[in-house]
Amino acid sequence: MRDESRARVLVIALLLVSASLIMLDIRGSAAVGGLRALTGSIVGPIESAIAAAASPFVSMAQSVTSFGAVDERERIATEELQRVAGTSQEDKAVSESLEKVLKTAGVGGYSVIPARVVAYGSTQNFGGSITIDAGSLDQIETDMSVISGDGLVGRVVQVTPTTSTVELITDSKSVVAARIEGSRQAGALSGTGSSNRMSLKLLDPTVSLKEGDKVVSFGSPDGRPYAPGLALGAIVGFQGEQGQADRIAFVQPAAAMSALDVVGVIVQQSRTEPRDLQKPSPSPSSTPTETPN
Amino acid sequence: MAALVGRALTLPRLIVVVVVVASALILQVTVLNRLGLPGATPALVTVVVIGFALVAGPLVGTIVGFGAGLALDLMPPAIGTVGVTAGVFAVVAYFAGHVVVDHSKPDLLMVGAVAGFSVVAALAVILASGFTGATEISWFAIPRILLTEAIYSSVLAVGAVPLISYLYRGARDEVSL
Repeated sequence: MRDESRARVLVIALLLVSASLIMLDIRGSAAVGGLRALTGSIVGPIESAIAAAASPFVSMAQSVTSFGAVDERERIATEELQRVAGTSQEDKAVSESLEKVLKTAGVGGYSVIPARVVAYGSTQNFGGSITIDAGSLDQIETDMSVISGDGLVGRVVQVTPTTSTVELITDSKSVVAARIEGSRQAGALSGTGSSNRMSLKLLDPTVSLKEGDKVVSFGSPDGRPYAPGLALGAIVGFQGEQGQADRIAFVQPAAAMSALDVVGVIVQQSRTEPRDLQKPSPSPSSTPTETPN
Repeated sequence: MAALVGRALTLPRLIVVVVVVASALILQVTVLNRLGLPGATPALVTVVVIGFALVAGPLVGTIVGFGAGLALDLMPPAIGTVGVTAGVFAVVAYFAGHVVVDHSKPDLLMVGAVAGFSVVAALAVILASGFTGATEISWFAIPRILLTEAIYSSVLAVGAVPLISYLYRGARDEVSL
């Protein structure tokens, strides 16, 4: 009986502690943030090690690419980036010049840190987050864009020395400035917690959209948190009629959000934004970004 | 009296609790959540918490629930509000601790209890998350998540709960905490 009353007191006390933690976290308390950072630096390396050991099993289950060496990973990430550039841009010339930009080391182009996913968050709370095995020691900072071979995946929200946590674009708290490929209409793409469905609201609801329209990232100043021109997904359905102010288009993410493995963190933007590169250059020899060396 | 003594938390049992919960936490985020199964992710940590509550009663269950929940809230890749899972797991484990079932073998009653409590826990986390930050929740997805959660938890309970029962009751010692 004594046990029972102790349990009752305990559960009420712990409930109050939880409520206090929730309040502190919502107010952005540094103490909770510090606790989170501390837990991350302790648990992160353990997750990396276990994930590496469990990788064959997980890969088999996901039927994705197998484990590779470090330079192999770098090569994969570069190829992925080029593919991203190719799929998200509107014409071939653009992707070719972007590819050229990528190859011009020291002049411009995205620099990408490759990383592997080591942990996934539960989907029960309509969240979407992953931990990757690269951290502040690999020059990763918060608000950097994270991409996979198919498009934008999310942004870095927390960094420990050896791991980082990424908020996926499918997280119910995520909102990405987006535009329609081709018509260039701007809108906001929100996550819904589902790994295969996001909702898009255009600034101008009278614009005509159709299923299959591609959605790409609008881009933020300095490319943080989101770099411009990255593939986000394709429209698969609608809620509401054209012209209705609260019309929503449902978007299927370009990347396989529930089975991510190799990703790249964009640590440096191209000096010239990919959007500007769409203008055909007046002559091939007069590229302004080219520096003699 | 013997029943109460049989459930008390001793040092070896504390070690069992810490090792089992820590393993479940790591397996949860590095393997189970990555399988990409339809609907919910198989909630091993929830099942383990309920398992300890069934085996060790409300007092130990509440402590395990709060600790495991807080760890899930804090460890990467969690980005939700800290305290939500801790509070939910503590309360769910408190009530699960009052249920009397045979936890040494996987019978229908035990599996049903674990599945039921894990669905309650999932629903509570969804609602608490909804009130503490998450904005664009797709409500139509909830029934599917709860149904799959019940199925996954039943499967996990068959193996996990008898194992917890065996380890916890086996690890006896006179050093009471």
